[in-house]
Amino acid sequence: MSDTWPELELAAQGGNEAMDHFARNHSIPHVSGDSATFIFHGDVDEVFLQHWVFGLGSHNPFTRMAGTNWWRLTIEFPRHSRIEYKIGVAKDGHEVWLHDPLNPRIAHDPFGGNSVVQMTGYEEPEWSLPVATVPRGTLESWKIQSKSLHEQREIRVYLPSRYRENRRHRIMFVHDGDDYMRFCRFGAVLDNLTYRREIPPMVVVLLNPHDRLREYAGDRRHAAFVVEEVVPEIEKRYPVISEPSARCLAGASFGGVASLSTAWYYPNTFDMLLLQSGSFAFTDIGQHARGRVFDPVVEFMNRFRKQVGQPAKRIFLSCGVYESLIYENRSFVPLLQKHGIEVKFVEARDGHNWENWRDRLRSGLTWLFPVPLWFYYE
Amino acid sequence: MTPARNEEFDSPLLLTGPQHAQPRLREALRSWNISGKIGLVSAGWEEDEFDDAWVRDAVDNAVVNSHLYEFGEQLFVEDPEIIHLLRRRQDELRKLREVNKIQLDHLLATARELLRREFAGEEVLAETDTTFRQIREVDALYIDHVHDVIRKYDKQIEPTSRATVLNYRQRVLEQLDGCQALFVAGGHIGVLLNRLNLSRLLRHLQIPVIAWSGGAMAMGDKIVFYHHFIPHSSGDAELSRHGMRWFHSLLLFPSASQRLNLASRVEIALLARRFNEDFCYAMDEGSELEWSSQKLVRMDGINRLSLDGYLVRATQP
Repeated sequence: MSDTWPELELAAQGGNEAMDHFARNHSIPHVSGDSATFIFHGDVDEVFLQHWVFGLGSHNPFTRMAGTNWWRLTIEFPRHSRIEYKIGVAKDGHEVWLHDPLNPRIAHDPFGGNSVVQMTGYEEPEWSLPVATVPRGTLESWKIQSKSLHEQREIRVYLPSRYRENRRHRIMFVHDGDDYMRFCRFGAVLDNLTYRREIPPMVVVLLNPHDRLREYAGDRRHAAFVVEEVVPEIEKRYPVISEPSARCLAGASFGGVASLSTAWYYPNTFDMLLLQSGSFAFTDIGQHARGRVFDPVVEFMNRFRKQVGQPAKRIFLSCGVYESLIYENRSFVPLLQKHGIEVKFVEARDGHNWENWRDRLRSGLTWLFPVPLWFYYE
Repeated sequence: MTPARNEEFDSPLLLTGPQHAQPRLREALRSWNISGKIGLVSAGWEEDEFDDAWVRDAVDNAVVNSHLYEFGEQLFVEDPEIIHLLRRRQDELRKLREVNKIQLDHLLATARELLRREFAGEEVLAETDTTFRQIREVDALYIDHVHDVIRKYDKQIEPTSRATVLNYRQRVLEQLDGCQALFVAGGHIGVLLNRLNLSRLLRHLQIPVIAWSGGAMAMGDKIVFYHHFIPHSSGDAELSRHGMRWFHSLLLFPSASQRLNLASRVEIALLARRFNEDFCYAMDEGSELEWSSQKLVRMDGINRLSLDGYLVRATQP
């Protein structure tokens, strides 16, 4: 693997000073064809790449380049991959995880984010970038006293730039809505796709949990809150179409479970679901091995799988192939189809992260909310 | 074959690419020495018909909106039989469209594969021409059937004599009274054409017209829908129906750089050969095509889709 970046070998022969100069003048990690080379500088005992690519070891050691304090690691990844990672550093028995100090590309998430390497063929979607000339939607917030949850909740609502009081809009309820806004650039995605008329102007309700692992794990109280309290309030406040065919529930990870379970407890309420890397863990026999937080999810999923019914008519599913949930999501497709549900399933060379979910939004939204774009010419 | 005007329509006509980002309407009006009031048809934008502030900002003239869409909606409330008939017509057209798509799918796939081989250096096969001839035959039959359906419903709607429709047209004409020229914007071409056909507005307005993007397409003989980049779509162009027929032997492709896969010789040649009875013109911002009476007098910034899959600068035919 050492010949993947011959200039690096050459620089290392010049010692620390030459390597410092080299690192300043090159983009790190270095991607060439199917391989990515990472380098790290430090007087430490051990360096390793900590990543979340299911199927590969998560603890990949760097090797020190002779005569320097520089370390290197080359790994092969398939083209079009997008990999999130941290660098682990050990010294005197202590271990810390860092963002790669030489890589300016960081993916943010509620846990502080990761460094990112984008392999050949991956492109950050241009439709997810804010565009100065594209009119922006607006956000407004109000509070609702929930009988189901016995507490007050804040609801945030995105209204599209082409929102009209005299038009009836479709509605999308998004679990972890604020995280979608922060980490998926969801506002820019909605602005851009609406402006291009790839999706209709729609009212987007941002739901945010207080106790996510409980509320989103198939909890009936959450479902009741959404369907019996939020939906009627939205219909009272905004000009929306009061029909299942105009309603969509969306979420990622546990948010996918929350979407599915809400639609399942209240059939004929939502015709559309957008489920990203859903945590659809189940067991055929025995115990699951995903930890106690998954207990209620597995319980719900096992019940669901026994009696699928028709929670929705059209379901968009996406999942990264570098996450363990790919198996559950793949097996979910034929189950849903067997019950007459139209399914669109998209896999990506990515992991369980917000940018993976961002990158699939255009495909999901345009499939669930088709617009006769064909007929429009500006 | 040359692009030509329909003799019935004699007013000066300027067809352009998209205007919204960098409008050139002011320059166009100056070149025609028009300083008076301008009418605007923006019915293609449906409920957004009155989002026309950018047009007003783009010219020095006063601009009045025709209300063609809004008054049409009021007409349907007043005379619900019309919308009922239009919906039935739409259902019939949708079925025709589905069958047409089935007919064309394999022919277009064949044409695409043969072009791919041709451009990879294989000997050009006579079967390629045969395939395109078959596609054109299906297209011709389809557009005949579409217009059989439209004529059938026109007989029932009677747009030239029905009192409610005449009143609709009159309201729009009053709105546009005194206008020295008419702007026709794009939007949803089906909606725009339905409103223009129902009102017969253009026959009663003998003033210069500047039509852009979808508005320009709507003025033509044939309407072809195209977009190579719609998610979950085959990207095959679709012949839809006749337009206002102000000109013929000319197909316009506005926003070509956004909507056409210009990097693909196969996709460009597929369009150019399928519609080889017409000049296929790609129109982006800055593209202009000007007619004075019956004569094409100016072409700026227009590229032609060539039969071998390239964009070439169009010169006056």
